[in-house]
Amino acid sequence: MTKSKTPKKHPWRWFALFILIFLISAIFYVYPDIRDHIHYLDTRITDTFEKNRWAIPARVYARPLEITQGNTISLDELEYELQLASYSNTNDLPFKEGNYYRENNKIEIKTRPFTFLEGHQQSQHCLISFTKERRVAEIVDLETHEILDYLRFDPITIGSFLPENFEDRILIGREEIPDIFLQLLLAVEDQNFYNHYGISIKGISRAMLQNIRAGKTVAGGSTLTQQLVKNHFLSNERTFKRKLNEMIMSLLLEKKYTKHDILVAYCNEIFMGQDGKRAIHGFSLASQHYFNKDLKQLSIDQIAMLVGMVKGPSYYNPVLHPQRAKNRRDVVLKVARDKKLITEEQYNTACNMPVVLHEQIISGINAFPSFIDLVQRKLLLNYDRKKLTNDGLQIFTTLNPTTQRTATEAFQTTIQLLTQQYNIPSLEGAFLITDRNTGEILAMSGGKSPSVGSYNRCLDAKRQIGSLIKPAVYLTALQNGYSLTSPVSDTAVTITDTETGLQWQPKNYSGREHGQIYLYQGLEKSLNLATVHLGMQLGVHSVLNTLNKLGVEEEFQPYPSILLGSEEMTPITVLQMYQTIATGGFYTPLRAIREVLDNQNNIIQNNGIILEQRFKSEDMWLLQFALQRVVKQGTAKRLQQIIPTKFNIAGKTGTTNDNRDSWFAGYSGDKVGVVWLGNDNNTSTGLTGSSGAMVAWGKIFAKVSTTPVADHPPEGITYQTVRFSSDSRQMVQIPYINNGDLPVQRHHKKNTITEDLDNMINSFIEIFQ
Amino acid sequence: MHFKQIRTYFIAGCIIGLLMTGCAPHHYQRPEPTPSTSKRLRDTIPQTPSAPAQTPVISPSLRPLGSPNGYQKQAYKALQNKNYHLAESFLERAIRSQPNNCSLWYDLARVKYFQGDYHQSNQLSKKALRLARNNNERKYIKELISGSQYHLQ
Repeated sequence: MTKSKTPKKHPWRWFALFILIFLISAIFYVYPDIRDHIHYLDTRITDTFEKNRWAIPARVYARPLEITQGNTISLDELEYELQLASYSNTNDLPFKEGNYYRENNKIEIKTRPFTFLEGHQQSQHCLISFTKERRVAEIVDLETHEILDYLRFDPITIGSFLPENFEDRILIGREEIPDIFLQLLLAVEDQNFYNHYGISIKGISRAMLQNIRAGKTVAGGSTLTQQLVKNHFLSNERTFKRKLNEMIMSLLLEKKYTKHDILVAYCNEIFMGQDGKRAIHGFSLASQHYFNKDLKQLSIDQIAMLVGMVKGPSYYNPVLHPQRAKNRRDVVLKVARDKKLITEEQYNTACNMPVVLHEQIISGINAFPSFIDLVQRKLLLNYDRKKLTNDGLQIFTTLNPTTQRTATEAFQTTIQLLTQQYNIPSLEGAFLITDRNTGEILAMSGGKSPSVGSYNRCLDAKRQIGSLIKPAVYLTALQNGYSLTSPVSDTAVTITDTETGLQWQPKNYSGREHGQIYLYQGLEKSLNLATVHLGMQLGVHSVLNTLNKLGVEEEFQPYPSILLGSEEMTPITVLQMYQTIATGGFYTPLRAIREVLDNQNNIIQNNGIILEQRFKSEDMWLLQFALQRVVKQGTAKRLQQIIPTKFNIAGKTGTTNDNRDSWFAGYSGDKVGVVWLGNDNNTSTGLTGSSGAMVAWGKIFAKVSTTPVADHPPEGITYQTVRFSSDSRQMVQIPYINNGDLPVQRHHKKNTITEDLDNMINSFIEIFQ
Repeated sequence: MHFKQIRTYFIAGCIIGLLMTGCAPHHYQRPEPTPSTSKRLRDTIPQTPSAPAQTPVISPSLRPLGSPNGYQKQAYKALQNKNYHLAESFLERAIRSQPNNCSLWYDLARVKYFQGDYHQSNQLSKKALRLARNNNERKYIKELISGSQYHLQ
């Protein structure tokens, strides 16, 4: 007779029963008023979980990249922006959203869907071809085979405003989490997730036994629900009371919400490491932070890495401890293989993948601190800080990452060069670039190597502007009926303060006087004496009024020294002034934010293009001509050695006393820029406007994609040929306002139109002969 | 007048004539203006019943001052649906890619007009006028300017 086999009972079953009885007794012992306590915990869960689950920091986006046929953008620039936007370069099939593949002069891209102000934009699978001249030749939709007029990409995230606890996260839904991710997570962290009611007595008992046997903590018995409760509602304190609360709340959570809700909440809540002050929460942000990819784009080894990190986000941090993280990842991969979630081949391939190091990651987050600082200051004018840190606002800005990168590189290289050349190790600087027509700020840097929280010189460094003021003086003259060839005296002048009796005797930079000159030459050569004479004739108040109309809102005392730029301004104020000049007299407020949407994609703020014509186009045309002369023949002549003459750049140099400040402000066909260089302690740098800031400006504009100034004159402008001086053979074509009442021009010989025609014909005849 | 001078002026005339022929602007083939009483006009221009008979009438046509680009086409669709915010957004995107295209600024000025923002309409029209290349363009832009100015008075 054989003994019938009885199944062997695991000792933990008895142990589990004991644990259960113990827990129930403990709950009743610790909480005699258990009903009230449960009600309290239930209310807490409902309040937090339903009403205000997480503080979602406002997310700041760069301008979305849009390409149209004929656009000037190189493949490298496009690829840089794609990498910043976490696109993956791959040829693997299926070709997913967020993938691109580059070959020769073509690039295949599958864009990601995104909700803009205009509504939801679907993903598009396109092939873009480029010409050799860095232009977009064609955009073909690979699904419809249509040629597209334009293509817009989802924008790059460039920053976020963190709440007081510095938690940052990107919220995701179930559809954004790959199945394999969840399967692996559950296999490693909570195999019985779908079978328990929030706590697993079996799991706790087993873990306790294992720990008793090992003599130390080797296993945890918490379910995913318990982990969620601990992270979301409770502290990390290791007390029995906290553990009891955790269990009760887990049961309540499971009773009130579905497994699906709990799982998604877990994926958004879980702490995944620290990035300086910033706490990385949720798998989505972790995926972006560690791999610069969306969760859906992760490979199996990367999924395993993230799942493995749950056990100890700091301990298994792949940036700080790559080998440790790799070992943990391989353990997770082994679980995946054993559970048949991946094949043996996939397992072997994944185990051989190296850990991606942090240095290899390109990300837009925190890469543009000066610009983010400006955006934050603008936002705080309209929203309180809590709204920015908690309400998940979406901030669409004007930053052009490609322009920013190119300009920053050129700026830093030039500063380095000047530092060595002039031996000024403390040299600092700032630059800003805007779109000439819309006033959108495309790039800026508040220092030679700005970082988060550092001094933003673009916004805060108030410095004397020197000769950058002069266009305001000459514009005032043009508005008052002067022409570009009106005579101006460039001779010594003494101005006495009527109240104090103090005398002011300005001098030209060269120390020389030039006698009677044409008005435009005063600006072209940046002559101080001529400018002071002119300004005093017009009145300092008039010049200040012009300055105000140009967009400078600060109030200045009407001292005569204002005429030579003794007033202090920040680079951004100077830019506003030159923006109005560049747009031909249309005041356009500088913009860093295009629109703000709430987390449901409703429009909260929409900053469209705003214009106001503050000066006559004809007057501005004359001023613009004079500013182009500054670059062609004047103080910025050397700029042509950096940027070809054909770009017709217009600009002005500025230097202050003892070479403390070096400025250049100017514009090309599509961009306006300002550069300031100097020492923070206001000591001399030895740099003039043309030897310092102008060089940096030139190097920046030579590198960024830009177009020549090719404006056509407004109605009512005629050109006449003028000799420089009575004994000069050099002729200049000067624009005049054709109002039949040209001012008297005493010191030049103005040719008649007949004479001009004769000259032209003789030239033709000479050519043909 | 000497023969040499006459010859000089004759050659000059020929050269200038040739140059001017080459530089002749491309003439925009604009369709006949829609009568101000058409249904389309009533649909697209905000009605001002109290306005006197001499109220300036702006061009109701949804056609651009040149051949429309992709953004402009979208803007016109939005305009037809009276979705002015959307039209504005498309036109701003168009302006970013073609800032010197006067018809885009003109269209944006019209959108502002339809929205009742006559000040911005007026300013944007002035910008369009500054960029206009021929009298035909100027004519339509000036109509819009006088339309907005009427409301601003």
